Amino acid sequence: MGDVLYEVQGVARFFQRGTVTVRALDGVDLVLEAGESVALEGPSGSGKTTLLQLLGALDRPSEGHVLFEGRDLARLPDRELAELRLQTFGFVFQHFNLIPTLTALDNVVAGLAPQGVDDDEARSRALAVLEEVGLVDRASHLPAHLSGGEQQRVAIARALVKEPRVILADEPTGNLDSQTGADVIGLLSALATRHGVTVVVATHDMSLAGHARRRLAMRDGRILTQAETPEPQAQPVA
Amino acid sequence: MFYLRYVRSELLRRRSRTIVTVLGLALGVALVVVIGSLTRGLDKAQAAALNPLSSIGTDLTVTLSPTQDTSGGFGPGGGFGGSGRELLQANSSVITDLSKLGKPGAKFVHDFFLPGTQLTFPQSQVKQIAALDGVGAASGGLMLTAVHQEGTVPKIVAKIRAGGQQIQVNRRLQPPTAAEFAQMRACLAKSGIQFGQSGSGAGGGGGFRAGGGQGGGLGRAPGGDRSAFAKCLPARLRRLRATITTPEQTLRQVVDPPQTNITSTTYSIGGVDLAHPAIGVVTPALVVRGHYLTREGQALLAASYASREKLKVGSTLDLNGTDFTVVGLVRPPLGGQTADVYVPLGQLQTLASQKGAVNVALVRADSGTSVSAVRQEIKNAFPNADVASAQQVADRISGSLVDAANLSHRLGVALAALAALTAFLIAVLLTLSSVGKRVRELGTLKAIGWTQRLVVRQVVGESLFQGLVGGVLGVVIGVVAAAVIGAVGPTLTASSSTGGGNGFFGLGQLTARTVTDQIALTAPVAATVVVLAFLLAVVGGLIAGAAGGLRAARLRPADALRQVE
Repeated sequence: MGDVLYEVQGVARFFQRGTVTVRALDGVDLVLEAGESVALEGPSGSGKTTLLQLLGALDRPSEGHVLFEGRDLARLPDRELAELRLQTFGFVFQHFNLIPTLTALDNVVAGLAPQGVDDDEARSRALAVLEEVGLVDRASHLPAHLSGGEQQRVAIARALVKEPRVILADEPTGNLDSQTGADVIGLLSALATRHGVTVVVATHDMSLAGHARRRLAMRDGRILTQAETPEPQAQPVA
Repeated sequence: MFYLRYVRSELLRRRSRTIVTVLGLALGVALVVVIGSLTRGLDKAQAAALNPLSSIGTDLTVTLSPTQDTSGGFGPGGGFGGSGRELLQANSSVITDLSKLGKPGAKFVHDFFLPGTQLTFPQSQVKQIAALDGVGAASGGLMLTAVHQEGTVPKIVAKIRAGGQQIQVNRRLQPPTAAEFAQMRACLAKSGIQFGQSGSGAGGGGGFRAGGGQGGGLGRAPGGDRSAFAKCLPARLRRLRATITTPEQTLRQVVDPPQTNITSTTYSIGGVDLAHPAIGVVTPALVVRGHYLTREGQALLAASYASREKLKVGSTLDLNGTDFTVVGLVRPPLGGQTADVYVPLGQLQTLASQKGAVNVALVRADSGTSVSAVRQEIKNAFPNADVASAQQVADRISGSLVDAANLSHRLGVALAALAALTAFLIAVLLTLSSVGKRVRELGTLKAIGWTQRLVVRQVVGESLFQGLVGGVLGVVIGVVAAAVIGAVGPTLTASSSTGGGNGFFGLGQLTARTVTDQIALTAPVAATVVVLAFLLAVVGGLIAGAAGGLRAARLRPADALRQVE
């Protein structure tokens, strides 16, 4: 398919909860190639979110290595991790995580502003992406005035506007009804294909996982099975 | 641009939190401005009122206060050494009868002058003080309490003859002892008088009646030699034979003076040595209207007294037949030697029958550093003199100004610091609370690539803006409040009392001189206070923002996101 993007080697992540040590990830090995579409499926607490956070340089592993294009993320300083998050990774969260006081347009611009892009250009690029997700006419609305699906589309636009190489989506349909969830996941897949972006989606919805070419089933912090879907199901862009 | 839009959105859309933070800061800043201004106003008022001596060019005042020691001399030489008796004597004119002022029923207007509790001493002693080492200049003044009386000479003046009474003393005495009896008998025997055994008459039992002669006890015939008998009496019995006669005197006393329409008003009057205008009980620098005394027949009035008595420059005062033209109004300092009316020293000495006498010497040292040495020198030369320094005089001043000034000194800085601290804490707590609620938001910003520095800058930007708005608002509120205080002008009083406290022989109230000054409190706003308060709000905002922002931004993005999920 493409070049190796991620090499996850024996990664474990422990959390201390009082006197109890919770093993959120426990010996995960994984290789992801550029342009892949991957679904992490499993129930709550299986370690999907933790693995996504390690892939997205939001966290550091307790053991093992997460290599991104050969660079060990655990050894990079905070500034370089921030740079990776800014330039290379795009995040979509279950709760959308939009800035409540900013309009849809400015929420998208917020993903671009730290790159030092001129404000006019940033707004122009943000509007273009909002158009791609079908929300250009809602650009001046605050998140509170948007539906759940619309908010998630704004979040997808925010992730895409920086033209990332990887999009990491954590339960992107978890707060949406099934139809809206299907629309959102279809949109995400179509855009990822169009922009040539590697997509890793964590979900407990087996039907949505079917949109990914590769499905990794997780339980108790481990990857149990891997499966390939011959033809990724791309939905037309809304 | 985006970052400013973000700040604006945050502040406008979280309006209630922004308003509370801004108002909290504004209140703190306003309090700092008001307290700072009030403290400054009090300092100014104090400088004017509580620095009494320097305003009259004087370092030390020398007075002679009476002591309780009634043996103290105040001889013809008039040395320093007072006594309560002399004080009574000096003030006696007011308790003499009023009949001297005219025939009963006649109208009279009269001013009595009393030296109060400061005894007089010869003016020549001021020259002696001036000659002491370290003394730059010295001048004398005569500060008197005047009682102005108007009315009708009382009709009933009682003449009371006292004295001349004969007082006989009767005491029960111990009878002569056996030895005394034997001695008497021997003595009488020498005079040829037989002192018989127990007589037959009254007075038996060996007793006898002094001066009686008759009765028992004497062996010789009745009508014996009295002189011989007196001579032979024991000394202790002989002494009782004297008759005491009290000296005769006539007392004239006004009986129930209020039956007439006499009205009394008390004021203080000071005699000014015209030869030393730069140092004296009042100086040209204290003239607020008109001009200083230039010759006899002129008077200066304390502005407050003039206002009270409805007198002005050009008015005429008649003091026991001597006319004085008011040539100026003065604002005398408190605590020092102050008076309501100032006239040339010589004229006051004449009016008060105090020729050549003063009761205060004002002394200026050669240099500020030699004041204590000069004070000691004067005390050595005149041990009974009361030598007061500027600080001691200032300490005698009391009243709400002093209370407020003390409060200001003790609490002013603390209150301002408390206000500042409160404002600062409000800013910090509200910012921390706000940031605490925005952990997810700030974590998201980090997740989408914002650096720690950018996140902190954003939060600090918001706090800085709140600090700026709160600071400006606070300064405006503070300045307006200070202006309102200045316009309302609450008055503080400062009082200075000299003497009278111990009330010698009931004269206390009459001779006490209490000068009270009403001082309108102002609250002049100082630019430094405004700048300081404003900076405080801004710096408070900056620190609060930085602390809150850093706390959130240092969290790993995953931790920040996990906290709310």
